[in-house]
Amino acid sequence: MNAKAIATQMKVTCRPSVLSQALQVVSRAISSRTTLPILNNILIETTAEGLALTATNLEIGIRKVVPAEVAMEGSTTAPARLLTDFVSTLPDQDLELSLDGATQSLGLRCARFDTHIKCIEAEEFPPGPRPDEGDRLEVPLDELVKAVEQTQMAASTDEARPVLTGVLVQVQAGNLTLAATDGHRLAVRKLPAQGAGDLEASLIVPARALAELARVLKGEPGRVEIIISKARNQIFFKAGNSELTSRLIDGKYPNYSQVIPSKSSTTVRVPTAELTQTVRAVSLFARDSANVIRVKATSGAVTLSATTNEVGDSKAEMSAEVEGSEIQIAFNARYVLDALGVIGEDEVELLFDGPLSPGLLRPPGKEHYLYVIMPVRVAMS
Amino acid sequence: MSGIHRLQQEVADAIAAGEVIERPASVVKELVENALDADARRITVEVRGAGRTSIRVSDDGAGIVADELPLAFMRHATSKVSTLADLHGITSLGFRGEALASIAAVADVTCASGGAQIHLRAGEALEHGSGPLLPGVNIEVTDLFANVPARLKFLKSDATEVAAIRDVVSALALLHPHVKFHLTVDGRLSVGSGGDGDRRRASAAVHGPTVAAEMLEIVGLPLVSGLVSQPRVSRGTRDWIVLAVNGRPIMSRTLVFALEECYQGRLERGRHPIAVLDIGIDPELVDVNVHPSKREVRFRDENTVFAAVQRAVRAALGGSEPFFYRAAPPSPLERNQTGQLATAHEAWSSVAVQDLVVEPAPAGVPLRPLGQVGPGYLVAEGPQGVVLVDQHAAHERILYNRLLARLREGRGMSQPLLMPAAIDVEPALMAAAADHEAALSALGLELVEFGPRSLRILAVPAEMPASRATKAVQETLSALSESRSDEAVEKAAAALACHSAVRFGDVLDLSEQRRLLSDLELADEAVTCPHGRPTRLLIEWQELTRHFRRNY
Ligand SMILES: Nc1ncnc2c1ncn2[C@@H]1O[C@H](COP(=O)(O)OP(=O)(O)O)[C@@H](O)[C@H]1O
Ligand SMILES: [Mg+2]
Repeated sequence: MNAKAIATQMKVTCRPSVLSQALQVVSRAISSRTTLPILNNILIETTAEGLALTATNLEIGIRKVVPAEVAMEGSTTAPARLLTDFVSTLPDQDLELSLDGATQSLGLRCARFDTHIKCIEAEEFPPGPRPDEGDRLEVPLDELVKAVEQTQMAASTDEARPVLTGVLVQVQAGNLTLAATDGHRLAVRKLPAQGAGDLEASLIVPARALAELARVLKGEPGRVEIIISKARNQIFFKAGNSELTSRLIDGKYPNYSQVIPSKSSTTVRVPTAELTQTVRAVSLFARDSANVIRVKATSGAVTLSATTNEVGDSKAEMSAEVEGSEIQIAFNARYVLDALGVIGEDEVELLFDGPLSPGLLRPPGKEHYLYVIMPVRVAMS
Repeated sequence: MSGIHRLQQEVADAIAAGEVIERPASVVKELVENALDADARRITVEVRGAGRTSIRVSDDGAGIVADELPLAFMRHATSKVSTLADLHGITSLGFRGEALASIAAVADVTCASGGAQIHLRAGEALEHGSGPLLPGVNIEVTDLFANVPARLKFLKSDATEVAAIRDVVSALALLHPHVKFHLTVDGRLSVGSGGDGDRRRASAAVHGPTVAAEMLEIVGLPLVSGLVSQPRVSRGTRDWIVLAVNGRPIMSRTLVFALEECYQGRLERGRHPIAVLDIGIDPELVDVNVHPSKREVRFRDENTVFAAVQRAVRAALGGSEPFFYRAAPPSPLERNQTGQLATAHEAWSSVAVQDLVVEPAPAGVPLRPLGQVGPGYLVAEGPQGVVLVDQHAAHERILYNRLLARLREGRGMSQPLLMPAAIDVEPALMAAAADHEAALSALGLELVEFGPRSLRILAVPAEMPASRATKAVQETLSALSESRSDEAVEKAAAALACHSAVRFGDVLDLSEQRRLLSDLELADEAVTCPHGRPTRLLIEWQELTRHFRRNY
């Protein structure tokens, strides 16, 4: 930020439709429970590329730059809710924003509208961290978005175990690995990174922040640049005109690799869609029993079943490739469905090693994704 | 009876002494107790001016022999005890020989019995001569406290004093269903019991027929007899709890606790049952000579009495409806036979008790979910009306019942953790975990010691969302350590249910709502969550009809 706000008479022109979309995304960083009033505002600054919009709740920050014609440079902060709501109602004709630096009154002129919004000086806005000289690497955008989707749902929301509310992001040997667990199940996804060199890093990124990633980067082309701050306390995701920054969670992530089963006595291969639909149908009857479904694998078939005293029972058999010994095992249907929903492959492979050991779910023959679930212990009748 | 005599000094000294006539209700209490001691079958109490103008009590009991009348008004003159030993097995309500003297000291009293009559004022006998030949005793107390202005000043409003009188008569009417009580206040009937020996009809006279129909009778149990209300009938105060020993109303926090504990999980917080409990016990095993008001007693073996009360109440409640929505209030505009509009009260008091059979909710008609409103209420349509459900409380109840069922059947279902979590706990909680290891594991919770102040959670109940485990374990262990041993496991189950249930504020889709509602329909005692908060509110069709005036 350069000039003093007092002297600034910002004047820019842009399209309401583009601005509105960006405002909605940026507003996601605003916490509804903030105690700092300035954090309800969006920072608006002119840049070489157009108009930059930034919001933060001090944990995460979102920044987007929308194309705009800058007639006069300047900056201010406007109330997010009001600005977003107002701009979204405007017709898609040129919108002229002009700031009176002395009064911090932001004029919005568009079609027949002539509106003024009271703003607060940009200096009041917390100077969010900017990508510095930290370590950089690059990953394909769509793969990163997919990897986040495949792992983030397994993270915990238990504030008593803060590290588990994050996704572990590891950089190692030119790969980026994302891992998340809530103590009941574990999801791990690996993707290749570029430019990482021999960088090694292990960071815990709040799952809440990653949950915004897809939305923030939507529509940006190609690749995402990941920047890890020198102090190792911030991470930046940057693609095109969009940027997500997040504070990192302090602490030591549990060594998850030791719970990944290294052997299996039964391997099952089934079509993903059919399994998803069957689990969903059978679990309707898994009520008395905490959403627990029983899985039985015999040669050539997998049988899913659930019972509730008052409601009845349901059983479904599907043909499957089964190798190894027969098995009966029980799972919380929700955890199974969570994985099936994001695996993104036509077929899925299930590996078991007895009814009390963790089960493994993965795309057949591939190593880039795995999902481990702890079975439920039931009194077998 | 051995006739009225003055007690010897040593006996008089052994009696808990003190002022007993504090307000009009004390006068009524003493006079009615005297009538009961004289085996009266009919006791009439007429009160005017909230008891300050006059209190007249007449009975048809044994009466007082004409020449003993003056003696009856002397201090320490009684026909009920004579030796020290008598104090250890008191069967009568009175025994101090002080009531009549105390009343006479602060009022103008005329007492007629056995063809004689005595008139006293401020303790002085003014006249003693012949009187009407009536059965029993007829006593009239006027100008109460006229000579003790300090006492007068402390009286509460007329309404309060009348209510206190009514409470005294009500309690005794409930405890003595064989006696016909008739209380009028300024000429208007206040309590009129039939005296036919039927306690439920006595309850109808005191509580009204609606409540009486909902009372559960304690039958066939040693020591305790009486009535207790179904959980769906409750009151906001404990004033409706009448406890007695051998027909003598007593106050006992311990026994009130024993009673209320049986309602745990069935009544909303702040609600109390209606009850009449009479403990029939060998008079030798209870000391009534503890307090001048005779309302406090000491049991030789309080634990036995405590247990007997709980057994009796639990047995009676065992037969109660498992769940019920709020009963419909009577229509305020119901027309009586003569075509006039009757008040709600009249409309109901004209209905005979046996007509008031309350229909249980038809089973098997599922509630149809309509959506979620506010932060966490479900709205549904049922056969009886519109139902609002607190999603957290409802789910809590469902899970609680399920956990207890598993505990009973010993068929735990647990979700072992992929990554066991360690939690720091206080030593007291470590001990609680160790003491209840078996029960906890039946509930699905498996913990192992992991250092002196730390536990490792190996498994949680299958219902528990992964993210709640640490908090849930902490709360469960505190519930265990803070509860009495016989209820500790239930408290632990309640804590686990609470932390596994959907939260108030969670968004539920329609199928989740449907599931919750139908599970709730099937749950026992679904009226409240295990902590006693209500799970639902029914707005009956009739209520809507009435509100929108669709019935004209
Ligand atoms: N309604 C009554 N019917 C018969 N006797 C009565 C009645 N009221 C009082 N008495 C006689 O008067 C005595 C004194 O009564 P009171 O002063 O109340 O002392 P207490 O009831 O403790 O003996 C009683 O012991 C009883 O013999
Ligand atoms: Mg007496």
